[in-house]
Amino acid sequence: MTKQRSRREKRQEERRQSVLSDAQVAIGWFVIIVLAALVGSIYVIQASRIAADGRRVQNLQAELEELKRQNAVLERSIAETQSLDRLEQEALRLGFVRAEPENIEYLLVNGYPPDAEPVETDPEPLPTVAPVETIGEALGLLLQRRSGSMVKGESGE
Amino acid sequence: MNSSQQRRLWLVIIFFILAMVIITGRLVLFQVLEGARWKELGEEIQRVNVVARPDRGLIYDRSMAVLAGNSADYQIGVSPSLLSGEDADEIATALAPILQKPRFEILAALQADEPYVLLAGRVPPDVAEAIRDLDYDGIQLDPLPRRIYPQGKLACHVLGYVDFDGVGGGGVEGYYQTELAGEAASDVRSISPLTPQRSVIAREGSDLVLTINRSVQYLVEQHLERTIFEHGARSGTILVMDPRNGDVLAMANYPCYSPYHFYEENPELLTNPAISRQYEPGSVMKLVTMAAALDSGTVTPTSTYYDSGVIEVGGHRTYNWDRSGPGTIDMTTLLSRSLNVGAATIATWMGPETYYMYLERFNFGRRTGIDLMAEASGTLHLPGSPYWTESFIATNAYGQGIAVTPLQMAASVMALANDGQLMQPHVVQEIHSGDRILVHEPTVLSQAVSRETANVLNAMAVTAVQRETQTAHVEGYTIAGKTGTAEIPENGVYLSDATIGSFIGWLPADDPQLLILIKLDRPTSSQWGSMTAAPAFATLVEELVVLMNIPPDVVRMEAGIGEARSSN
Repeated sequence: MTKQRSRREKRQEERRQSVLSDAQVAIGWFVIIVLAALVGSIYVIQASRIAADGRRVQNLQAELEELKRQNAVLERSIAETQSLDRLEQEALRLGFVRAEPENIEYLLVNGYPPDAEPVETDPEPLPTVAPVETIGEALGLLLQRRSGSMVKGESGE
Repeated sequence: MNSSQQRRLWLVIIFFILAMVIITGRLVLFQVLEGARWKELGEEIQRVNVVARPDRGLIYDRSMAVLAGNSADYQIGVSPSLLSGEDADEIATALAPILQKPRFEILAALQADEPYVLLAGRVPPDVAEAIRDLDYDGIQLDPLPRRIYPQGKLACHVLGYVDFDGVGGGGVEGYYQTELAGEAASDVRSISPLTPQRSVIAREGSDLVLTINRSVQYLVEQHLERTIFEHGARSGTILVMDPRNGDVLAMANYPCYSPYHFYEENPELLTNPAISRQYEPGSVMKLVTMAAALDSGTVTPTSTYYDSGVIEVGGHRTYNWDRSGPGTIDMTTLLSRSLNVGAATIATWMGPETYYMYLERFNFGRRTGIDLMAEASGTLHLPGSPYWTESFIATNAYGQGIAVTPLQMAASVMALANDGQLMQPHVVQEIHSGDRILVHEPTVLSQAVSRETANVLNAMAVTAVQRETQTAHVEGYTIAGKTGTAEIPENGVYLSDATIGSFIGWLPADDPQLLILIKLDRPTSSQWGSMTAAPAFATLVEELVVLMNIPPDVVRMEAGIGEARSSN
């Protein structure tokens, strides 16, 4: 019994002595400080990184605004360059002249425009349809077709 | 360690303990006792109100050429605290010639004991660029949105203008203010880089695509200006429209103004005379009177009346413009010779009830509803109104005692060129809002007269041009139209020495694609519309048919274009 107690006391004494030993205490503190420093430095590094990123975003935003501004200036310049006043002056400078109706020759293309009736390609002329020769005839024919149902006559007055 | 060393060690220890106590005390004070206040103060400093302002929508013509865009002027300010004395001196010397201000004035501003001093309220981009190139710290350039019009004065009255608060005045800028301006968004957020940043996104302004063809508009404006000078007119208007759908292809007024420098212009010029100023239309109105008489069955083209040269209705005597009394006259001749007595006669045959029913069908006295700001409704006194007298039925028939805007007149006659259907005139073809595109559908305001009546009147109007208005003739094209010479009422009496000459015509007469109204105010070369507006119409058409690729009648007939279209 006495032998067992003395062994236990001895182990406790050894444990107490090992906990309190100077070297272990120093190591413990060192570890704590290192960990604290690590945690602190991680926090500081992260915070500074976020701050740097934030600044970078702000700079990029400023750069974006500047590019937008430059873009607007260029768009304005393009639009002004394409103004009809300038185009006309430039065309005249290059020797172009305005087209007059007599300068234009119209060619009839079969099937164009799509909503037009196709030009007759049959070489044989249709005997029943007389070709329209004057504007007045053409218009008269058209108006006659359109207004054929109108009642004509004197008014009662 | 001797006692002296021990004493010094204790002093150091006490010093550190005291320092720790003070620091800890302040820490407790800041973090605990006054923590809430300091936290709030800190957040307040970092909080900023972020406002995202949308870009105003652009305005394009029908071929997507930019008519109105966005740019910026700049507000120039300075923070004197960021400048040293030498800097201030140098900056003042550099800024004076750029800002066109006395050097001492700028120097005084730079040396002011203020956190911020305004140097210039609004300068153009080139001035701002010159200042930016100086690259001085402390000078602040804040953009201020500014509307630009790259085509200059082109279509000024159609476009309108935008004031320095971003609010549109006149034209489509005013009418579509809500759509063009978009919607600003704002949020209070922290500028701390450690705080997540929420995006503040505004609803961008919608873009507008107009029915205006800028080439046609340019041609028409040039033509109007030439015509005004040629005939010594004071002002004038030309409208070019597509009668099939109510598209306004060109709307020109002279004088015009610069929308970019609207604030320097005479305020009267900002009004669009084509839709806001009314006038008595004169003989052009006979087209409407004749259409009403035909459609109501009162007359046919071959009906006759006896013209003695004068008619008295409601105590008012009406004479023909040349004081002639031509005798028995048919309706086609009435229209060709523009006889006032004849117009008054057929209006009285119709009677007030029928005649004014037709005037209402043609939308007189009401706005057309065009999508432009500040449209006037015109003036039409109806029977039963205290202002109406019996003589009005006679005078209204030839365009007196009734007031219209040029657009209203053009829109009414447009019905005659479009099988009797009165289309609502409009200038915006599409609205581009983000991914959505809203397309304008042509709107029929009324069936003013039947298709048959419109066709008969077309033929009569063609004859009128061929017989009596050769000045409006264009080689190769059949024109339908009518001249107008309107007197100008002032203080209750008609001026003896001033008229308004006008011509309204459409072509090709069998398949109308263009309707053109020309109105010249107070021409001095001649008082008659047939001598001023009609020849101006002809020369304009000669250029327009080339620009708009409208072939001569013979070519169209041979190609079957007119037939094909009219049968659709």
